[in-house]
Amino acid sequence: MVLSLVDPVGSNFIKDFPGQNANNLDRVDGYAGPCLHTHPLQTLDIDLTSTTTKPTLGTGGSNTAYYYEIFDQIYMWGQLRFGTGFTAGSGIYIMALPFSVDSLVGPGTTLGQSPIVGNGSVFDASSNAGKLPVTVHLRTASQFHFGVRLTSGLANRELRDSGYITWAVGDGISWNARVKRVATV
Amino acid sequence: MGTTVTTNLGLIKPDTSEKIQEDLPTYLGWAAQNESNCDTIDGLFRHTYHNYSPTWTADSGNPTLGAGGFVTGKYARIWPGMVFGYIKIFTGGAGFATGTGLYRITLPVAIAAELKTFNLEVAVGKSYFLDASSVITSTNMVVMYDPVNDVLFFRKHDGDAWRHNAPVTLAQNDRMTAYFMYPTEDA
Repeated sequence: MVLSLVDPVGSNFIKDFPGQNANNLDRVDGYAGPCLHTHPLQTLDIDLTSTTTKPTLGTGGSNTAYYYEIFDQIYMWGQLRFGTGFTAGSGIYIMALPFSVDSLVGPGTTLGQSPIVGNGSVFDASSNAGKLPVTVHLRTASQFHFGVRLTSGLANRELRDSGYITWAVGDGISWNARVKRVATV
Repeated sequence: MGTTVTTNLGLIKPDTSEKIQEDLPTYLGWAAQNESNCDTIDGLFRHTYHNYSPTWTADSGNPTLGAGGFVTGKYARIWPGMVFGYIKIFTGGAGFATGTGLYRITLPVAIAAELKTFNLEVAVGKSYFLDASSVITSTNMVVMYDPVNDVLFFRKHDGDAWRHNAPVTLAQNDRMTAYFMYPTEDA
């Protein structure tokens, strides 16, 4: 049982009931109460990295995300934007999470076998044509990568340091995702 | 008696010294307390859909629905600080006018203040545009929240957004359906 609730058993269960019931109510309240009663959006400590050389965000750049946790479900919304002096790094872009996801869905480094957990869009500050939709995939139990829609000039399936877009200041990624966190209760 | 409650949900905890039976008018008894607790917990997992009337606009001149056309929406608060919802648009028949520019839809509930600080659009759902006159120009779109104008718009497959003339010039009997999910301030 997830919450270890006390079963009212025993030779004198009526006498023991108040204490057991109070214990059970406190456990239910502690698990469900904070997220069902009131639960503010929280800042997600997320990191952009890559398979070869880590990109840098530059001055004014940002990698911001928020999450909403309900029991073991995590809902996330994030935005990456490159600033002045950024470096694109090299390789497949990876978003590293600060927690582990339930890996039952089978994360994978091959995009076509990597479960989709969300969607989003590339932001090309210079062209609408560059603002292509992306899918958010579970690469490992604590990493996302992004699949990009086929388009002219695309050299790779995953969002990378280069390919269909030459990253510039003001460019970025907008995304959302939903995952099941590894149980902590 | 019966005044101890849990921290977050206010569930009534029976005190050790309490009797089982009621002692009115001050004490309701365990049965009534348990009933109250069960109703409180049960109520937390009920999500009611509400109707809302989305406002459909274009940034250079609003569209006009034709005969039988509609713009409808439904939403539910699935947790205290999150909304899930649907939008349907049917352009209608005679009298439909496309308007001019980028199409936008209003939200049912204000989005969380944190997401208004994003300086890029925020992806919040998916949608499908059905071109009634052609299969090949029907398409999927990403539902985006625009923090500047506080509206939803729709990112097309080719990077641009849904406009009066993209992916095709909107016409009578065309349709769009969308779902969205985003965080809000606590209800």
